[in-house]
Amino acid sequence: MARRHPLGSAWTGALLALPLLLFLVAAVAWPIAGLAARAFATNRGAAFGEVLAAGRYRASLVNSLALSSAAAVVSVLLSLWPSWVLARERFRGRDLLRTVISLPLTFSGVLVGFLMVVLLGRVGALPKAIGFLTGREAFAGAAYTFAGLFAAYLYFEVPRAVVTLESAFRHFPRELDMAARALGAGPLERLIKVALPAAAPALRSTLAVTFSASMGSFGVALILSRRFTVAPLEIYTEMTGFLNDEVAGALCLLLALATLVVDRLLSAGRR
Amino acid sequence: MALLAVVLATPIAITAAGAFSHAEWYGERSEGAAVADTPALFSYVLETWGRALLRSAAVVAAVVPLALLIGAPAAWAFRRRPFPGSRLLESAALVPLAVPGVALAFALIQSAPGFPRFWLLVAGHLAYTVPLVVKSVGNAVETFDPRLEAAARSLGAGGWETARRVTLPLLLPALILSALLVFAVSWGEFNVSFLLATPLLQTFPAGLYATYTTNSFPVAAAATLVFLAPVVPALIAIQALGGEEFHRGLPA
Amino acid sequence: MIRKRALLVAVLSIASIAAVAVAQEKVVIQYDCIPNYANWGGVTALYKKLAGVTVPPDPKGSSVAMAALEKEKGAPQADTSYYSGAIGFQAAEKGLHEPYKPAGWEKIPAALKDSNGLWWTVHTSAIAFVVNTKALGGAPVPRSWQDLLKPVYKGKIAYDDPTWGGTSYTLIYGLNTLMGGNEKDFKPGLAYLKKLDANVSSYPRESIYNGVLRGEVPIWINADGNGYKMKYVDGGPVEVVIPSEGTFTMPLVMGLVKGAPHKAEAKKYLDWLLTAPAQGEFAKSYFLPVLPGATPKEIAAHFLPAGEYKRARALDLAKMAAAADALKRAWVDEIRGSGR
Repeated sequence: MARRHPLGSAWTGALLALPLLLFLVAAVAWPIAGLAARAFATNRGAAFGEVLAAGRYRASLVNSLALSSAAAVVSVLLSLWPSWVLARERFRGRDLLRTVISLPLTFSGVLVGFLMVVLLGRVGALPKAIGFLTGREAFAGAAYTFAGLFAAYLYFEVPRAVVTLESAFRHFPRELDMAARALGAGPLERLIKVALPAAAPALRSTLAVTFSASMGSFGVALILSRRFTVAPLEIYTEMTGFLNDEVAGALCLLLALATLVVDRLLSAGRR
Repeated sequence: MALLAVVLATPIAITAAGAFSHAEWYGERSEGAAVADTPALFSYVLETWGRALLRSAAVVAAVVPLALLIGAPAAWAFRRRPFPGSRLLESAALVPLAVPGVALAFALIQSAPGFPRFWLLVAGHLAYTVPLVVKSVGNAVETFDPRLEAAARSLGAGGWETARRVTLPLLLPALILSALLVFAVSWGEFNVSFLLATPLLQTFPAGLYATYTTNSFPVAAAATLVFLAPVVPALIAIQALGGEEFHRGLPA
Repeated sequence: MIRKRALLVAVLSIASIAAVAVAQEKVVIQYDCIPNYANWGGVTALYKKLAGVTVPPDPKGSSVAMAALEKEKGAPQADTSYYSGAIGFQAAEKGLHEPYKPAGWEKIPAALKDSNGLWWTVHTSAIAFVVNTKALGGAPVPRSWQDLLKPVYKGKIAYDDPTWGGTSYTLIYGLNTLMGGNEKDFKPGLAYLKKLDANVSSYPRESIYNGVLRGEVPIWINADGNGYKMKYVDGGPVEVVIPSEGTFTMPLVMGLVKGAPHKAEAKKYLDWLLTAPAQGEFAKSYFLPVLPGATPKEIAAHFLPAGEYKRARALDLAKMAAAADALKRAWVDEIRGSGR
């Protein structure tokens, strides 16, 4: 006999989620709302008009959306195989491999930018090495191109995606996997035909995480981008260079809304 | 797979070698003759930014358990005990990731002027780690079979006992992975800490940033090693905490 | 088993938090106290030795420091801050400082301090070309602002983003006056900067001292002190050039923050910074002490001859501060562009 109270069950859920709600409101929503409120209050929301009109600010929002979407999709794709392997196959050195893949998780965007410059800057290690071997330095300054910027975003996001996705593949019902194995399917086939469809919600969830983290990412673009601007950079400039909280608040609010919308869209298919 | 590891590790290795190599490409060691040899490089870094290491440890020590406590129960509840608005709340949980650190830091300072900075700093770190816990644990709950818990309940186990004996052990790998994520992200958190921490509270990543910008490269290399040194054992220890549950995989 | 581990983790956590909380000592909080900039590391270490007071490092630059002070007005955390001249002037104007005249006040020239004690200079520098000759790749060392426009320097020049760096703001304001503009007319300066933009590789929003030393950026338009330090302390292949058309001096200033949490100790610290030992420490980083005669002979000998510095003119800080927002916006619009 199950002691199940439909109303009680929802109450339990609400109670368990209460700390999260309180935290989000007190530590994030309330402070940011304060910023955004100033944006609304000053000059009847002129800041929003400024931000949405054509120009740097709008370009930065569009750039952020485009770059984050692309980075999310590509990094989740790249993380599929590693997270599947880490989750399922037991092999020697698995812990160590996971450790190495997780190391970049400790790097802030700024540090990723610096490392990229060390590797592919004007006097980067890779160009110098290629020059040493072939007599001609290739890729010097690649760090500052759009490809370099995108690669840095991937370096930043792939480890996040791997660990987040591994959680899902971990708990994947063994019976399904073993059945597929018994039928002779290799690891790649099992991944594509069995694991991915079943893990679709987790995939969308991981896409949402990498998208959001890219939207808020500031350090990579700070170090590597030349003309290309993203919303966090504009927010930084407005807040520290001009003490202009109104535009910064408007940009922040729009960033937050965009992220909320995208996550709702990604989880819409859920039962 | 191994390729990924190599690609990710290469920049780190190249940088780290700068602390040991006297190769011309790394440039001269600066800050005077005091850093002419490798041990001196490290003692310079530790002398200048050593306190910051301890503060990083303190912040992370607070952030990891809090992030798990705030994020994990909610993640489970969203799947197993949904309530009106739970979907919206779950999406809202991701939003902090999209808020740039500078904005959150200044917003927190302005909305809570007298509040102890240490806890504001912890809150800032939590903003960038709790969403990861929610999604990571959520992914796990998504995929494991709810009938296991239902079975326990129909056998007469109460809610709390089911949680302890069935849910938690099943979720342990996800919790370990979340702890890994939170530890790593918090240890390296820079954007919000840069502005939210006062010089008395400043964590190590700010020092790392200072060496990459205003010091010579060998000093930055040494600082990178100092930064990474505690991470590797910590990551391994966290995984070890998971024990057999965590390491179980399919038989070869 | 899990319980035991959890308990151990909990104990360790509480222990480390407690360790941080308990650490008590006398402190003065200075915003913008970068150890390897202007030798703040050496200065604060000496102060700790002499007075037993810790001044912890702070990586914030001038603009960010001012923004932080502004945000913390309700509950100040800093006792003092260090800035590039125009930004310090702005901070004082915004009411972030309170008046204080440190001991040794009379020795500071009138042009380098606020008559009410809201800010004063601790050392000065001049804008120059900091050139990594090895990274130039055979191109000749530029000697003038006009030289910088030559195509041979394409992709080889950088100066900090002026919305972020005080030194760079001094640079663009100064260039504007040099080219014939003033605090209301930015066209001459911006016209030059637009032409220069063709040769600029980036406008960094972080110090690229490390990068220039490594050769990542061959020509950095920044404070001469940084260049001398790269050459004589770090042993880099660097040459400092004062452009032939002229350049500008930049005072580096400090002030007492209004509502400073450790006011008494802060005043003692600010007093000490103007004494010979402190000023001598600053000189080690090739920033010129404001106290006359405080520069050791060996260091003074490394500077370019005084004749070169005759071309360095001082700028009007009040006008610079008044023009700041407008000029920075104009720079962003014209030079940084649409952001695509």
